[in-house]
Amino acid sequence: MNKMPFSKIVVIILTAIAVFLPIGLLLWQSFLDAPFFQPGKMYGLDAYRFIFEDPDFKRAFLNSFYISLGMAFISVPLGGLLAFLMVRTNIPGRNWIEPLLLIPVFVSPMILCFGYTVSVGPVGFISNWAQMIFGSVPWNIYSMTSIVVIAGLSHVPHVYIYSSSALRSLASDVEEAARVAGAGPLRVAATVSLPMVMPAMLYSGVLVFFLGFQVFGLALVLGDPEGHLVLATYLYKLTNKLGTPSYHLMAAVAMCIVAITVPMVLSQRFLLRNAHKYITLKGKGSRQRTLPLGGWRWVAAGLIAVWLAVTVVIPIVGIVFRAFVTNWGEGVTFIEAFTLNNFKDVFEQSNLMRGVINTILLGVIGGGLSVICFTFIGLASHRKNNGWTRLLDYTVMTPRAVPGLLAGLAFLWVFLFFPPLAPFRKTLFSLWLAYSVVWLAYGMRLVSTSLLQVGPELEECARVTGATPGQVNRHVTVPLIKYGLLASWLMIFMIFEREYSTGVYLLGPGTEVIGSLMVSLWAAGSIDIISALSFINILLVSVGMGIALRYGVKLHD
Amino acid sequence: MQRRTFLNRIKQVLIGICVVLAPVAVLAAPAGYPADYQKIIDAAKKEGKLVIYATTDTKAAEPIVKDFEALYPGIKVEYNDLNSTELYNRFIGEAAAGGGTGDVTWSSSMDLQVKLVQDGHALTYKSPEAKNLPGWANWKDQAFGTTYEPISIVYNKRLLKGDEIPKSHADLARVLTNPKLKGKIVTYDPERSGVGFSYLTQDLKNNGKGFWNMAKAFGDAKVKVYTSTGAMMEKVSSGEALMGYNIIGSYAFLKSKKDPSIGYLYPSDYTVVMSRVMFISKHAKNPNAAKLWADYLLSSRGQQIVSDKADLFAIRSDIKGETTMAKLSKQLGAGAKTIPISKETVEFLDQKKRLDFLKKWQQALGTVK
Amino acid sequence: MTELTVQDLHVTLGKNHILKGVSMEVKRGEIVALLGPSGSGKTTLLRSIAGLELPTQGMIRISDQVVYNSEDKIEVPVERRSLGFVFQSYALWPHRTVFENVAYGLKLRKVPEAEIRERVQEVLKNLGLGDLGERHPHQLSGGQQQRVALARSLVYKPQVILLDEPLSNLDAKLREEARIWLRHLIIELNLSAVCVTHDQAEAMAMADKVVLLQNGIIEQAGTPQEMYGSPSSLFVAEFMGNNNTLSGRITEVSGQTARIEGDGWALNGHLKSDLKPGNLATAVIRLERLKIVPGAGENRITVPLKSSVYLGNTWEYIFDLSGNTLRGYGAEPLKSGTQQVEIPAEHLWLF
Repeated sequence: MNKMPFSKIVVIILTAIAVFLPIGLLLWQSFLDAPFFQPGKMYGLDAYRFIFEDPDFKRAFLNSFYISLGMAFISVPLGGLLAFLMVRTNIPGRNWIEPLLLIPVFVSPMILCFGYTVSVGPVGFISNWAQMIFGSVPWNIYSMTSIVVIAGLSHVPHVYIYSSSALRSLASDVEEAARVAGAGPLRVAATVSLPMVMPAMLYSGVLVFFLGFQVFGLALVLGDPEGHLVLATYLYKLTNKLGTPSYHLMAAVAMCIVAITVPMVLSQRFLLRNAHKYITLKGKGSRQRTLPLGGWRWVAAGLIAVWLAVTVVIPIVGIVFRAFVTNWGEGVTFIEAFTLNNFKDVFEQSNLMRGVINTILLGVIGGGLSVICFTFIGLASHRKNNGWTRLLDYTVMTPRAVPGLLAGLAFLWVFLFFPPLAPFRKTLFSLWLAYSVVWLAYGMRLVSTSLLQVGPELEECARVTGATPGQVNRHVTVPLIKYGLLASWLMIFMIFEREYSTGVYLLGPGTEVIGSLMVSLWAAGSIDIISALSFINILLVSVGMGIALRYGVKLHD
Repeated sequence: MQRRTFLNRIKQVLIGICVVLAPVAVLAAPAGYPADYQKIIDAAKKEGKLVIYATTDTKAAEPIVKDFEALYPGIKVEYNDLNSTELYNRFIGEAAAGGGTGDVTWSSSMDLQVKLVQDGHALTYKSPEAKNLPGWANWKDQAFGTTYEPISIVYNKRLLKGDEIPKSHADLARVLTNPKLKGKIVTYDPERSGVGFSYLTQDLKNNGKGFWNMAKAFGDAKVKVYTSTGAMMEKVSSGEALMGYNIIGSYAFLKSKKDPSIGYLYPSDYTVVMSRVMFISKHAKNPNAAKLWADYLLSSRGQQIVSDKADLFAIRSDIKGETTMAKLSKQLGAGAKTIPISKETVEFLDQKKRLDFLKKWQQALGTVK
Repeated sequence: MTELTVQDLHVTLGKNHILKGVSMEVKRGEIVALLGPSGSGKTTLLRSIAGLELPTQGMIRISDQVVYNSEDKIEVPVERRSLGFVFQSYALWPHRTVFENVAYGLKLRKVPEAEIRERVQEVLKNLGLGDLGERHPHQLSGGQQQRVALARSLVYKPQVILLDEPLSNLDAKLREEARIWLRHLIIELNLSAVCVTHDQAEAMAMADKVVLLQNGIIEQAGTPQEMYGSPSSLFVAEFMGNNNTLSGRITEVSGQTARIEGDGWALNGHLKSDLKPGNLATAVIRLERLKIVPGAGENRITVPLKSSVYLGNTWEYIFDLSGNTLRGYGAEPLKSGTQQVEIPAEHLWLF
């Protein structure tokens, strides 16, 4: 029963290669003094020496650290509060607020930032109103503080997802027992509810903290005017500092990021185990009672509305506005600047048009293929616990620690220098593989959530009835998680639509996607086209959201 | 009976195809080209394909590519629009991997192009059009300058008027003291932008001592440094910034045609002129098609399109129009300072020299003590 | 003929040694109940027989095929053991209809389509599910689901059927009917069955043989009568029925009988373990063996009645014996005051 079939071992080994080969390349490169493919390269620690001596690296590191810290301090309390309000109180409009809360997860931070520039930048339309009212603009969107606040606010959903599911699984009878024992509501919250959701909050806190070290798009756009570098943008710009691209330096920075994030990813594993410890303690399926807030419910709703306005409405209105004008600024009116040429440009340029089509293909077909692969991987370790599955566990978590930008670079190398893959480099396959690996942890969480819902006896029963393990998978397990897999497909579609950094180094004819085109165009191209692309991207994600809502797909568990 | 009409129809179709294909078969070498040029054309047609790596926007390059394909039907151009570091990275990676790379590279990042040529990646080719180029634009028959693009100052036409707009580099010192401009001037961050770096080093060369004074004036005016040309244009257009320094003239020209807020000027004391550098890759899989492209881009037909349709500036003196060297030379006179295509170009790729310059720049700006 | 043999089976799950050398046999047509408290290893034993757990040592033989042998490294995969297995939760596949659930085993055995239809219909009809074939499991009642699960494991005619607490999900009334019905069905089909349960009444009602497990070893195995009437240990005695237990000291031993004395009482009993005069011992008697008698006599004690509890079919009396509780049954309510109670020596077991 516990023997590992050969096919599963193959799946696990392939997954491990897909994950560790690119990362291994990065690691190797970081110990060289020239691109690994150049003759005459030497081993050494020069790369690390250089970056550690570079004051910009120190600055970038500190900025990343502040962002991480700020994100944790902003998003954890807010996310927790939001979860409490949504799950445990009678706040009005809960049903339709819920999907809105998750928008920032599915909209690229690049797009949000372009939007912020247009709406609350120094001459943004909201800034102009502020100028009229206060006489000056009381905020500076390009400051480090703004970057931290925006990063924090846009990661509130990450915390919300975890704490709300923890709160949901915490049945009210546990609290009621405390009430009956004589504790007041505040005491119950402090001594029962909070400690029980604490592991989930801590888990999401760690998640947000290490995501902070991977912030890229946000700093690329908002950090540019005042030159605020973070680790990922430092790395992206490192090429210019020395005039010629310096892979060894980039790899060294990458390894620094990985060195910070890997321990955190691993600690999450430990935290998750703790979190489960509490969840299994949940009371027996009693209905959750909501806490009547009285007049305060409108205050709470107002709070959520403000957060939504700041995090979602303001930037999206900004970017949509920008997509339909030729130019904007003080004294420009929408009517005279209105144009559809931005879209015409997109449709007329073959590479942009390919980008739009590729983005759709990658999301729909690629997303589907990814879910199929994730399912195979999930089945390989399903109901097993041995050395192989532990290897797979770590393999699956590792990509989370590597920023997409670098993963993309590493995959470019793999496709260049690994002959069997070379013919696929200029095809969407290269992007698809990189995307699938970068989002492996996310995808596997979706799939394994479904898999765990299948009762083990349903599979065992099929075995006893005479089915081989393979037949069990085909006849029982997979049919049972069919709807879970469809929902995962939708989630992966939206995440693939949003992804922008992984494709940057893989960008070429045939591999254009909206996300990487935006990063590339940002360097030299025009904002007109970027805005139009952003608008198209938002439309695509909205379609995904719409389908999710229409068919009642839960956007998180 | 029916069978016959069917065969007849096929016959008609076949004849039709032959008629359409006929001109392809009898393509002749352009006038004035060596007699054996036809061989290159035939070989290129056999290759059937041309891979170009370029930094020029797809949109700007499209008319050139279309015209080339019309001139040489049967050669399909695969045009890759990359940014300059991407292009460099990709090229050296692919060259090392040996799996084929761009047949032609064409980039505005002159120093990186020259470095690739220096590192032996370029094919030597005696182009029959080379004689029509200015001498500085042909380096060892390996690297060719293809455009003549002035580096300009852009400004917001709605918000800056008259005296607020500088006329020359020298004039900048005066204009920069205007409190209205404080924090509202943008330029490339030489630390994070390769092209920005190279334009500044040209300024240093042409402006001498005045350069560091200008840098100090920028510092006092709280200049904002960017990596993104698009972002800078956007800031100037919206009024978030009022002036952009060292913007490639072709971008300024193009944007000003569409955007009523954008104005631009060429400084009168000297104007740096850059040229998009092209070379044929030694690793080219389609070397003959690459040669055709090189000759075409330098030919008067190609250059006319460069000027008229692509809104880049033609480098050949015999091309007439708004965006041509002929027009600019008249406008700028001796003030035009071209960036050479030579060893000099890569001077600042030397790590120490580069970091020294950056340090001095930051000190002048006052961002580092 | 022996249908199932288990020899010296050891199972370790994680760090826990669950089964520590279990041996048992099931003959053709025999129903064996695996009984034990939770954690005793009874389910693990069942799952090991099915091949769902991998033992570390021992041997399992089904009919004449060795399906597991640690010495010869034989391990026949689950699906090739051809057993019937009814899960506690029934494990009906929710995405298949009743018909498809039942037909699955036949399909896997590549039985022709027409024959499948015939055999499934037949088994459904036999189990009283004749017209439910097109339904999905969630449209059935608990009792119907249980029968579908049974039909599914019977349809391909396994020699041995394994049942894991098959009745625990039914409500009390239905359960008592179902255990008789189930026993009849198994006998009728001449199957061998192993049935896990934690309810001793259910075990006795259903099984020809009861195997009582405790901490991974077999405490005692035998017919229900042996298990109930002649337990070999205090644990078995306690587990198999409702008892009065008294602690005391052995004062006299003669042959198989002995005298035990406690605080204010002294009784003769039947020795169940090797006790010597002076040893501390536990005296156990089934509740129903307690007799209310009119006067004093041999092995009779006088105890005050604490209360009488009406249970519907009987009265339960609760006496106080110097601080210990003594319980017994009777048809009539008793008047308060002291009563004479006889504790027959042959039914008082001394451990």
